[in-house]
Amino acid sequence: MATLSVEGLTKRFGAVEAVSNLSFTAEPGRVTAFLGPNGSGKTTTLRVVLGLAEPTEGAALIDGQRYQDLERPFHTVGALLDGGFHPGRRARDHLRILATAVGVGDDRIDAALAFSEISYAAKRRVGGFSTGMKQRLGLAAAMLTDPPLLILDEPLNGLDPEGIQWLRRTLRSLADDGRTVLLSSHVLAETEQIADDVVIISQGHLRADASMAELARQVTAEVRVRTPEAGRARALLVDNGFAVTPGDTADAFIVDSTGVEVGELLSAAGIVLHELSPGERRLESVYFQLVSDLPAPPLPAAATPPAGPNAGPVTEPELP
Amino acid sequence: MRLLRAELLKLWTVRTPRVLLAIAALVAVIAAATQIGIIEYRDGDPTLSAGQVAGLLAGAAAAIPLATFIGAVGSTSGIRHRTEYLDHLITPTRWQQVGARVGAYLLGGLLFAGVLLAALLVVILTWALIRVGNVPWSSTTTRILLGVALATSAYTAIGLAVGAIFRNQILAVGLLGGWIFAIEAFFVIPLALIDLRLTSLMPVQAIQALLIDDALNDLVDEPGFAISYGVWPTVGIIAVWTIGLSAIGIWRTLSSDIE
Ligand SMILES: Nc1ncnc2c1ncn2[C@@H]1O[C@H](COP(=O)(O)OP(=O)(O)OP(=O)(O)O)[C@@H](O)[C@H]1O
Ligand SMILES: [Mg+2]
Repeated sequence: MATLSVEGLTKRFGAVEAVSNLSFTAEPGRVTAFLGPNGSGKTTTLRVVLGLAEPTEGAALIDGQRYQDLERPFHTVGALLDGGFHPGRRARDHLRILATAVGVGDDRIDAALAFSEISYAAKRRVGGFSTGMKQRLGLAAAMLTDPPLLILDEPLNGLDPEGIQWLRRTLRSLADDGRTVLLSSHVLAETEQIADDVVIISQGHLRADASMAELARQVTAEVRVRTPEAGRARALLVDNGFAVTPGDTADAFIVDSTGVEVGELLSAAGIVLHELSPGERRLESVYFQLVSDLPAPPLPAAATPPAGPNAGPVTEPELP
Repeated sequence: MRLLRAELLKLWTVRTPRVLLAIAALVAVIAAATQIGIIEYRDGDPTLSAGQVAGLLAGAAAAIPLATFIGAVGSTSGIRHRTEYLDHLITPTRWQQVGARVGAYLLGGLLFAGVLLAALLVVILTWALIRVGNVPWSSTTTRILLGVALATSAYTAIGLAVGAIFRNQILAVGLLGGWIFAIEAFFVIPLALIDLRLTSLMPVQAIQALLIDDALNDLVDEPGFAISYGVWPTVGIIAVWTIGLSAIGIWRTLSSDIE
């Protein structure tokens, strides 16, 4: 069991502030997705966590200790970052070097190769590997010591759909065994099915730190309303603090809320409904709103309810 | 110890060091074979002095600079292929990594020399036993064996240091190659005009001085002839180059970002 906590982390490269006062945790038994667009500071954060770069301010702690202060760091944290292979070296030799340095036996090499389903290529030179094969070998290296904490920078990159399915299953079962899994990605949709928790950053700032369920709830909270009394209905909803956006036809509009709330309010006012259906907003659009700095155009600022996705970072109380 | 073994394994599991070793052994054997050819040509019924045996072994001097490329390629490949971070994850204390690497390359240089000398000895002994019937041996010969081993070790470490200083593989290898095969000559020629012994201050020329001086002195019967300041001062010169460059290389490594 190992908990990762990033506490008020800031990392500057000269004038560039890559990470700004970032705090979040990754808990045992859970898969945490660490999301953000290109250049948002994901890799920088992970490098600080792994002791590869010094934080400018704040800290990243693994069970209360910095990576470099851990007694057996490689046995505690398995990591996957970009690069890491000599193209002329055979896959098995790559693992053998790591195993020799950390003092684990050949049985672990075989186990790690089997885990990553890459045993068939063990004797081949890494230079001839596809991107997905390299990712798998990188994962084998991360799993060499069977560590309780996995930190994976874009592990899904380069994997084919089958590989993605495999990694999803694998990470799920690793977390179910009580391990802590943190994986970064650009694409929320990729991690939607595996992650329990989501940390979203943009330009080095935290944008959301919530459970996937919590985030998903925001998505379903959108309904399409069609009524012959569209004008009166919209005015009523806006007066009651709902966010309303125009629909595709004159008698339709979209409300950021649930069907229950909207239906009850409108029926109490005696408004006839022709349609009340779940909106089309997908999780991905919530993500895009969170990472974009501009307020999302379809949501008039005045009408944005406090819990709306643009109201600031989404946070949820500490997990048990 | 584990780190040292891992570093040696890194060297052995890529092709460059093995290819260089093969080339070095070939160069040394060809150098010795040429000398054997000359001896054969001169004396139809060849005889062999201890000095000649030493001279044949000193042929390895031509191959020693190749060991620097192993060091240079080794220390820059971690940067080039971004494998350094794995070393760091295993050993977050950087001076331990660096220490293990320097140790591994010194040891690797010794192993390199071992193979080189073994190849040479097989050729020389086979020829001597067949054609001459005996192999006269002197303390100079033993010293040359040791000299080859230590110089190879030192030059592997020098390559490592140069790689660590310049950090770019092509640049480091190019500079070393340029130095060994051309640039040093620009320094050596004017120095030789002043005093032949001064040339042994130059790193590559120092190897020649260390290995050939004794052999030459045995062969050349000219009073006052000397291409170096003697064995120990020459060992000192090589040590200064090795330690000096290594210190800069270590400083560069410790002060740069981890790739
Ligand atoms: N060593 C460095 N020196 C200077 N700037 C850096 C360095 N490393 C990262 N940066 C900057 O920090 C910012 C964050 O980069 P980072 O690599 O952490 O982003 P990322 O979220 O991992 O992006 P991607 O999704 O493209 O991998 C970028 O603006 C980048 O240019
Ligand atoms: Mg990145």
